[in-house]
Amino acid sequence: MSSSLAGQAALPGARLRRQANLTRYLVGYLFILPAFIFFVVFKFGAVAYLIPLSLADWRLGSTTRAFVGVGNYRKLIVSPEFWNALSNTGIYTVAVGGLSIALGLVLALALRRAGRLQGLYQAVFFLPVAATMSAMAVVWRFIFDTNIGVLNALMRAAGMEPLSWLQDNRLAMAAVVLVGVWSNMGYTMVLFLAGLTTISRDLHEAAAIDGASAPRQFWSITWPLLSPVTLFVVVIMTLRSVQAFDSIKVLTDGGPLGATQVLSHLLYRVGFQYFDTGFASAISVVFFALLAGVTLLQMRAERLVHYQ
Amino acid sequence: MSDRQVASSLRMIVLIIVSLFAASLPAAAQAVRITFVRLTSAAHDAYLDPMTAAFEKANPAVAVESIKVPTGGYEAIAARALLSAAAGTAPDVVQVGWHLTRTFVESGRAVALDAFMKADRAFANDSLLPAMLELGKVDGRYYLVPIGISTPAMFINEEAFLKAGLDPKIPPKTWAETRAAAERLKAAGFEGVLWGWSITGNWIFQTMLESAGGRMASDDGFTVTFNREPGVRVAEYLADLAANKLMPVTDQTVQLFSSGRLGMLIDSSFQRVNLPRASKFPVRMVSIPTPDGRPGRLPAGGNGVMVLSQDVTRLQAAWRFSRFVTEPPVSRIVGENSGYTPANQSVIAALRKQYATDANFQTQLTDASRVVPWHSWPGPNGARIAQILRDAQQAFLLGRKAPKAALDEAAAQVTPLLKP
Amino acid sequence: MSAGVLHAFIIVMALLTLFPFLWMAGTSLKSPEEVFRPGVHLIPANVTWGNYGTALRKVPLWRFLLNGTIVAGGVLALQLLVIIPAAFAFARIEFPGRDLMFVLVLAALVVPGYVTSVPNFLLLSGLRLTNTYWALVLPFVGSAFGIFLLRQFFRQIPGEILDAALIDGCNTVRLLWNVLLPLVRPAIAAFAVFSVVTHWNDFFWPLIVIQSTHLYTPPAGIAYFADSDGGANWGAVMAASGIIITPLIIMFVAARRQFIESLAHVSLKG
Repeated sequence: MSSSLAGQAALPGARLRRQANLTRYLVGYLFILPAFIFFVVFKFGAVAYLIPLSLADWRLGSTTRAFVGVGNYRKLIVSPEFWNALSNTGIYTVAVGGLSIALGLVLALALRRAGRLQGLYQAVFFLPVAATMSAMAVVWRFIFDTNIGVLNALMRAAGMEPLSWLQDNRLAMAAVVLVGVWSNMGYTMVLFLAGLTTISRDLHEAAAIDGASAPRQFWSITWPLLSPVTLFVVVIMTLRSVQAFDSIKVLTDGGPLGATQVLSHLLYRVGFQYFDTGFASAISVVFFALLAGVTLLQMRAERLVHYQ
Repeated sequence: MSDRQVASSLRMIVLIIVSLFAASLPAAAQAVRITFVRLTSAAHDAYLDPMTAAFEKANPAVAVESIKVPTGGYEAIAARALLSAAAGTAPDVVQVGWHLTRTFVESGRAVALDAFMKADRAFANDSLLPAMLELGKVDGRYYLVPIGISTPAMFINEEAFLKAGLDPKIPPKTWAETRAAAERLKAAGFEGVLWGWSITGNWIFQTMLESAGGRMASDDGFTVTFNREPGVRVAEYLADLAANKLMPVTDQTVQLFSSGRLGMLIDSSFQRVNLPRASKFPVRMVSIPTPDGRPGRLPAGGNGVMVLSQDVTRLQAAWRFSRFVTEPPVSRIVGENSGYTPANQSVIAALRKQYATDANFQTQLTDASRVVPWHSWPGPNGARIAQILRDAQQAFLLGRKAPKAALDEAAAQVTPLLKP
Repeated sequence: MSAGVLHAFIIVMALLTLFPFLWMAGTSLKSPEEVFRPGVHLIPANVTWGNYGTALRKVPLWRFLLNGTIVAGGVLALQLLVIIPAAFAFARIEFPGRDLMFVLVLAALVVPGYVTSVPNFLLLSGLRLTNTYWALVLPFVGSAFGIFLLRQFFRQIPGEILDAALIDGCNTVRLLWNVLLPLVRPAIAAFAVFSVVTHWNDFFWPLIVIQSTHLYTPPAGIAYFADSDGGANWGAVMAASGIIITPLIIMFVAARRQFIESLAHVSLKG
C-alpha cells in the first residue's frame, strides 16, 4: 500500500494544485526578474566591482593594472585632500542640517498659526526645493559676485566693506552653507508640519487648561511627540547634506583652495577629471561605509524614540 | 619601447596604411561625421567657427560635430578627449595646447601623422614655419598640426594710464616699473596690474620663472625645479603685489580688463583681437615686462590639432581637417581673427605687410619669432599638476601661505606624480 | 508670542526665500549697462526682453529642456514597466524566497548614487553607451524606492477585489491592468512626480556620461552656459536660469499638494 503522501500525489487534484503552485511561483519570479536584473547590474554588481577596482592601481584608459592591495586605502589615509574633503563634508552637514532643521521647525510651528494662508506659505517655502538646484546656484553665484553681486551692493549701501564671498577660502564655506540652508529649509518645514498635524489639539488644550505656558507645552508635548519625525528629518537631512554636489560644483567648484571640496566633489574630480579609477573606487567605498553608518545609527536611534 | 607602445605603434601603422589606401579610392557618397573637441569663448569662436564652416564648405562629404569645452582650458579638453577615448568613443580631432602634446602621445591614443604628411601632396609642409612644426614633434614623430602660437603679452588700458598720469607709449619694461605703474593706477582709483596667474597650464608663471633664470623642471623632466630661488622670486613679487592690493586676485582676466577697471593685464597675445573688441577704450599690446627689462624667454602658447580617430574612414576625414588648418585661407582666418600667429609663412609675410601700421600686430609678430617650448610634464598627470600649481599660486596670492612654503609644498606634491 | 510678531517673522522669511527668484527675474530684464549700475535696484529702469533672445541664441535651451523631458519621461516609463509587476508580486503573490528577495530590494534602496558611479561608468563605456540617452536612463530603471512604495499600496487593496476578478475569469495580466492600476493610481502619481523631479534635476551623472552639448540635460546645460564666455552676460544667464526652472515650477504650481506629498510625505510614510 502506498504512503498517504504518495497516495495524495497520485490524486489528479494534487497534481493540478502543484501545477497551479508552480505557475504561481513562475509568475512571481518573472514579475520580479526585470527589476532584479537592473539591481544586479547597476547596484549590487557595481558595489561588488568596487572592491577589486579599489585594490588595483588602475587609471581609466590604461592597459596596465597592478594589484596593490590596500595601497589605495593607505594613500587615502595619508592624503590631505581626503581628510579635507571629509572634514568639509562634516562641517557642511552639521551646519546645513542643523540650521535647516532648526529653521524648518520654527517655520512649521509659526505656520500652524497662520490659518488660511498656510497653503500659500507652504508653497513659497517649498519653492527652492522644487527649483532646479543647478540653475538656482547660478543665480546665487551672481548674488555673491564680488563686484556686481547684490549682496555686496547691500553691504556697500550699509557702509560695510564688500567681501569676496566665493573667492576667499575663509568665506566660501559660509556662502555654500547659506545656499544649502536656503534650499532645504522648506523641505524640513514640510516634514515637521506633517508631523505636527498628527499631534492632537486636545493635548494642547488640556495642557492650556492646566495652565501650561506655550514654551512649556512645546517641551512637554510637542517635542517628545515629534521625536519620530525629528529623527526622520535628521536622517534625511544628513543623507542629503553628505551627498550635496550640485550647488557646490556650480558655486565654487570645490575651491578656493579646496575650502568647499566635499566628498562627492572629490570623487568627481579624482574619478572623472584625473581618471585615478583605483583611488576613486577607494573613496567610493569609504563614502558607502559612511552612508551605511548613518543608516545603521538611525535604526539604533529609533529604539530610543517615543511613539505616540 | 615598451610592449604596449610597440603594439600601439603597429596598430597605428596598419591603420595609416589602410587609410592611405582608402584615400586613393573615390570619396564615399555618404557624409562622414567627425567630432572635434575644441575651446569656446568669444575669442576662440572668432577663428574656430569660420574655420569649421570653411572646411565643411570645401568638403561637403564631411560633417564636423564640434564638442565645445567652455571652462578649464586645454586641461579640460584633454580630460574630455581622453575620457571619451577610454570610454571607447574617441573624438576624431582634438584641439591640444602645446604643453599637453606629450600627455596625449603617452596615453597611446594619438595618431602619428608623419605618414600622412609625406604621402599627401596637398600638405605643403615647406610653407610652414619650421619652428612651429617642430613644436608638435614628440619622440621624433609629428603628432600635432599647428593652428597658431601666441606669446605672453601685456595689455594696457590707455585711458586708465592717461588718467593715472602715465604715458601708454612708454610702457613699463621691468617688474619694478610695472609695480610703480600699478601704484599710480591704484592712486587714480583703478586696479593696478593683473599677471594672468590662472591662465591654463601655469603659462604666465612659467614665463616669469624663465625670465628670472629658472626652469620648471630639469631637462629630463623628472626633477622639479620651480621652487628654487628664481621661482621664489616670482612668487614673492606676485604675493607682494597682491598683499598691497596692487593686483586683484581673480581669474576673470578678460572680464575685469574689458570692464575698464584694470590698468594692465598680462595675458596671451591671443587676446589681441578680442580684448579691444570687448573694451570701450583703446587697448595697447606690448611685450611682457621682465625682471630687468631685457627680452626674456617666451614660451609658445597656442595650440594645434591632433588626431585620435581609430576608424579608417574617419581617420581620412580627420587628416583632411588637420591639413586644412594649415592652408592659407585658414591661416589668414586665424591671423586676422585672433592674436595667434599662424603657421603658414606666406600668410605671415602678407599679414606683416598688410598691418604694418598696427602696432599691436607688429608686437605680436616680432615676439612670435623668438618663442621657446611651453613646458610639458612627462606622464599622464599633466592636468593634476597644473591644478596643484594653480592652487599654490592662489595660496600665496591670497596670503594663506608664504611664497616659498607654497612652492615647496607644490613641489613635494608634484614629484611623486612624475614617476617615470 | 503675539500673532503679529509671528506673522512678521513669516513674511520676512518668505521674502528671503523668494529673493533669489525675484532677483533672477529682475536681472533678466535689465540691459547690460543696468546690470553693472552700482546700487541695489530690483526693478530695471528700462525693461529689456533682449536677454531672453540672447540666451536662446547662445545655448540650445530648448534642446536642454527637450533632453530633460526625454530622460525623465524615458526613465519613468521604463521604471513603471519594471516596478509595477515587481511590487505586485511582492505584495500579493506567494512564492518561495519572497521575503529574502524583498530584503534585497531594501538593500538596493540603501545604495547611494555616487558610490556606484565609477563602476557604472566603466560598464557603460565598455558597452559604448556613454554620450547617449541610454546612459542617462538605464542605471535608474531599477527603482527600489518605487517597488517599496507601490508594494505598500498593493498590500492595502482588499483581497475581495482580487478574488472577485479572478472569479470573473481574468488572468493575472488583465487583472493588473483593468482592476489594480486604477486603484493604485494615486501611488503611481506620487512616484511619478518623485521620479521626474529627481531625474530632471540630476546634475552629477549627466556631467560624467555626456560630452556633447546637444545631449545636456537642463542642470548641465545651465551650468555650461554660466561657465562659458556668455556667462559674463549676467542678464542672459539669469534669463536662461529662469527658462530652465520653469517646467518644474509650473508642475509645482499646478499640482502643489501632489508635489509636496511626493517629495516629502511619501518618504515620511516609508
